[in-house]
Amino acid sequence: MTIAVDRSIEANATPVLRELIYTICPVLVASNVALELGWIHDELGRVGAKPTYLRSALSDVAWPAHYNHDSGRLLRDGGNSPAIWSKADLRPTVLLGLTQAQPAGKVLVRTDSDIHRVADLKGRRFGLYKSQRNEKIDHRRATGEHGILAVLALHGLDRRDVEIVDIEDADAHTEAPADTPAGIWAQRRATRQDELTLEARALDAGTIDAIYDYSIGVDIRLTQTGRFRVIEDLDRYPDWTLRIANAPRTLTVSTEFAKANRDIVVAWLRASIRAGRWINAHPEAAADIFYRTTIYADRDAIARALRDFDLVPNLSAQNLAGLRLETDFLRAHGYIAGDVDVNEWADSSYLEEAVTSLRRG
Amino acid sequence: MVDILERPSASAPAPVKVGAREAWYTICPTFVASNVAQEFGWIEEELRRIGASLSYLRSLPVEQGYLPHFSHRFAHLFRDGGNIPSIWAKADNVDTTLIGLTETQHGGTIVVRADDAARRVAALKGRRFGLSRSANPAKIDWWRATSEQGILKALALAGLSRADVEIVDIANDDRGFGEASRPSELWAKRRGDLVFTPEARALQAGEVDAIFASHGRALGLERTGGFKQVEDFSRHPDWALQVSNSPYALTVNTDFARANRDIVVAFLRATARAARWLDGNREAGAAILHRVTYHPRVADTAAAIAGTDFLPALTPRKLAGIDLQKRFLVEHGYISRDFDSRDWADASYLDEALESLTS
Repeated sequence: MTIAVDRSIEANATPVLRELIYTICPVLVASNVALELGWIHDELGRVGAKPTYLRSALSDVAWPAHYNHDSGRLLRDGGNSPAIWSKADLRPTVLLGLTQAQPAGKVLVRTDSDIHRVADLKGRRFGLYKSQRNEKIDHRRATGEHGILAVLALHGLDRRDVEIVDIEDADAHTEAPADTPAGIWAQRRATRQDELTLEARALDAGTIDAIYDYSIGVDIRLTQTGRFRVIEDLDRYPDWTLRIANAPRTLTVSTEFAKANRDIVVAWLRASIRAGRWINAHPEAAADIFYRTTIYADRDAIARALRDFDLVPNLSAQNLAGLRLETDFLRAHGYIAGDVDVNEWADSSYLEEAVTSLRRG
Repeated sequence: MVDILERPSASAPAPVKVGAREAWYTICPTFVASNVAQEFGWIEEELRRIGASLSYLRSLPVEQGYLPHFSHRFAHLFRDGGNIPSIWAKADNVDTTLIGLTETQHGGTIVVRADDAARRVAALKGRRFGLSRSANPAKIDWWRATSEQGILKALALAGLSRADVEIVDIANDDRGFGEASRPSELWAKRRGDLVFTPEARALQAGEVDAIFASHGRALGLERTGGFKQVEDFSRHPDWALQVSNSPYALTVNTDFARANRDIVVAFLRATARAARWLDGNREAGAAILHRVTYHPRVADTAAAIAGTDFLPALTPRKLAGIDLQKRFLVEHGYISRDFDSRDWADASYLDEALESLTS
């Protein structure tokens, strides 16, 4: 056995670690698992770089960058609507990969209500999340609105057939800094474990008649109380575009950083691809990790959901078409002003280089 | 056709004497863990450990064993299965305690003739729905209640109401039967009758156009080639649609339970053991359950129980299911007295059984 010797030590060179700021949404993307397994740090370390979490004490970039991507060295993986907003209206980024791993969404009503099908919602009140912040895109509202309009259309109704009631949230982001995303979500989980969601509280109180839920496991927690039931689940339909909203998830990076640090971007993608393959092969094990790195309420529901998804990031024609659909939705409903050419936004060369280098070992 | 075992009252059997430490049981042909515990002999084993004995209600002469299966008017009786008789028993007959609930994921179906042009319930507007009517006034017409609730649910899902269809009563003699050594013997004799019910025969004869059928019954009917399903509640995500004589209720006489806590805990220990065994042995469990239920084939039973949680825990959603079922029975006149399901339920027996199994 031979031991590799780093010649830079002999040369007494001063190592300069290049820093990448990263942020990941609490959703099913391979980056979350790659990070938890240490593979992000390993791969970046191999090229002399280190990852710093946006919401850690070490970061000098403020948290709103998670939404507006306001940094010249930020990589972001997660929900697509902030990424689309940033690209359309704010700054140049490169789209590196897409992951379609998100339930299409469900409609819940109160158990004792006379509503048995979506058609019965005509003239009734549909709750829709609304953030009280105005410095970020209201991605949660956009996702809910997209789903509500889809489910109404599926049943021959449109927005005018129901009353949309805003469910307002302070959207505080008050968590203390943490070294990794799991540290942020642990704080949120600790305070919300036994509570109904914001929208469910309004439904329970009777101020609205239905909610649209696109989480994983919230429907289980709510129906287990006996007070709510699911009357529609968009995943029961064969139309894949019903699953398009804040997913496909987008892996994006500041353009100037990608151009100057191609090796770091490829290193991240190597870690994510490895993790994606590992998740696909071990959904039960991955569910334990995702339970820490997401805000999803039910570990077993995560494991079940993972069996239906491919967690290896890609830039497939179908996912790019899905991203196009969401961009059109966000423009048509005033969430973004500019447009995005998704094919121009995507640069598959990073992903291809990562896949090729992994093949070589 | 099944043997009708009722005799002239002149030869009525001697009254049953129930000893202090004697327990009796009766279980419906449903997917509940107690059915497996019973088949394995675990209930008897657990009871014997504490000096108690176990007898099967329906081994008695039919005059004594049939009606108490529904009314619970029998000393020291454990009953597991369809909740409509259990709710009726508590409301209008005798004080029982609810010690377990098991949900089903199959709330039933709407079946029509295979050659009918209708492909959905909405197309059955103006048509005739068959609804069984029991000729036996001594017990709740639980089968009519289950069917009526199923028909009304299906109509609501189709945007229709009762006024949009014609409800046709189908007479059901509803004669007693029994005198079997154990449930598997009882249901082995009845398997065909559980599928080809009077309303199914009326549907076949063209006297009605649609009926409600439980999941297993619908499978048996469609395998003949003469019938098809136009609605299957299990295809909908709404758990409340699966409330159909379920969640299955495990009940026991309250006075007996209070005086013999250890026997109730022993019964639940056996049931919880069976639930755990089923969780780890679904396919094998299907073969056991198949003996005491009526899905056409073991594979159908296996598919039907694939997602079943067999531990009869008294969770909020199961109790909410009891409330939905009870509300239907009150609103449609099947029971005369309402009661609070939270007062009926006592989780302490199951808690103690589970605790004793871990220690």
